Amino acid sequence: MKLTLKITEALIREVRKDLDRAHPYAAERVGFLIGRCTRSRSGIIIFGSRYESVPDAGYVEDHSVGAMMNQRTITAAMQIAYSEKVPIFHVHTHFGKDKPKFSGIDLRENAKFVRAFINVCPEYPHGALVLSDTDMSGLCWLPGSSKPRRIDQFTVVGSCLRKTL
Amino acid sequence: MSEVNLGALKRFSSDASTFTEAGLRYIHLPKLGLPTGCTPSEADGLLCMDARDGYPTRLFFSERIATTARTLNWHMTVTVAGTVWHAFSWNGIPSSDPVEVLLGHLNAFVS
Amino acid sequence: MKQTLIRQSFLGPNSDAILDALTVSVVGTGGAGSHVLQQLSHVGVGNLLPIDPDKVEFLNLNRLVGATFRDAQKGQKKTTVSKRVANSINPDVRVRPHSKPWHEVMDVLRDADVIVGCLDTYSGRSQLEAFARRYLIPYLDIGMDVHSVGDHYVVSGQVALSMPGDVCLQCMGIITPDDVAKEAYGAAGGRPQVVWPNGLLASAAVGMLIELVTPWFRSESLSLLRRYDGNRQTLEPDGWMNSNLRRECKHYIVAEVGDPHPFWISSKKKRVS
Repeated sequence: MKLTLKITEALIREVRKDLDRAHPYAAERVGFLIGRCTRSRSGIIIFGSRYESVPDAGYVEDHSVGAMMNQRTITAAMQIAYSEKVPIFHVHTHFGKDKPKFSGIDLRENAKFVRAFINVCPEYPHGALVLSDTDMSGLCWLPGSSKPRRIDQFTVVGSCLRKTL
Repeated sequence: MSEVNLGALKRFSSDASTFTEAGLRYIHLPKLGLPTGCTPSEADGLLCMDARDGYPTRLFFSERIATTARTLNWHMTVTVAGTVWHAFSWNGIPSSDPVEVLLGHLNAFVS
Repeated sequence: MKQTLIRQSFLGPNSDAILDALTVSVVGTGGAGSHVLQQLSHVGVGNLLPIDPDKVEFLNLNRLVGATFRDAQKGQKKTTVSKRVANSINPDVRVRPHSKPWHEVMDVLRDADVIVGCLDTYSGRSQLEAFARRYLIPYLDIGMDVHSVGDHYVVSGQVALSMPGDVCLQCMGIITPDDVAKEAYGAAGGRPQVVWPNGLLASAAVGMLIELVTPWFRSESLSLLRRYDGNRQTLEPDGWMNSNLRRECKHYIVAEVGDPHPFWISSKKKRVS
């Protein structure tokens, strides 16, 4: 079964623009891509529907990591998942070129907060995305599954239709 | 769609919800209970609150419904929200309060 | 680059791989659709999904590319002709024909990267566009008409690209609710159709598709609409729709993508429909 994420060029541009902003004390920014899904012959397609930026006050001041969300931020994201019944994907960027990879800390932290989304909205996939300037990678926890899967394909729809694996 | 109106519709379909497509407003009515004499007795309904196909409003169903009230002309299938819906010819129900619109269309199943 | 595609290397160093990985569905494989499929096969699109429930009839032979007299005698499926034409050009192209109305194979259609609509009803085209918008699939719509005006005929048409987040066919004035409403009450029957406007419009559509996936020249904005005057034999870009000044779409909410919640839940119960 194939997992695909589709997003418009305008939305991914909005995400990158937000993540590019400097933060008073966090070394990097994070946000949430709110999605929708469908089932197709090949598998599941996740669509980027809108982006929720994390406000400056939504971070813990912790210089041992790039960015640490506080509990209020996670709760706000959980509230969206619960009340709107939507998939939620945590997003951050490693900048640079080529295919980005999750760090060890990313993987550890992803598992914690994605679990929270699953608890309030188990019907949908949830996960995390990491961007570079030119590409993205993602992990997805499917409904009923305790382990994440790699997102197989990303399609950006805009002035140029781009598919990356 | 105001929450008050959706609340009133939930008497007919407890999981009623709204969405839009192509500039038109839809109300999804899962497991909509149908008047006596209908087969099946309940079906998923989709209420279109805006003019389409030459009708001021429309009520679609996930399947064709038979009724003892009259022979309905199921003249059209449409695709909305990636799902197929069946439509019967029943015109002249203007767009107003969603409950009024729904009842106006359900009159087709009442003799 | 593949030997067969060397002459189109100007499309970009990876253009052959990009095109080979692309999945294009052509909905309606009659007059215009048959041209589109032929050209997509030539240009190296790797995955084709022709969708059409109809069979070849004698009255199709004036315009159905690849259809033969024998096909009409046999009542051959149009999508079988599509596959035959595509694989005769490129044996490696992966053609998955569906001889059904498109709404019966929506699970397949959701996997398309681009949909080319060659349907002959406003209602069908409008619904197909709505489907494409919901699943973030660029939709190329081909329309052609022959009208009688006084004592002569006017041939006209257009190719339009309906892109998620951008203006739609309604915004472009190509399909209006009035058109769909009149059609619902109008008389059924065959509409005039001839091969050369179909070919011209199909070629324009393929060109717009190529521009979308392998932008081989820099343009200020994606060309969305080309209008055809069959009497003057001209195909011209619509200046307003092709400019950066065009309006935002009033009809499709950008965030309204994928299945609404109840449909996602019910699709799990039905598995893939």
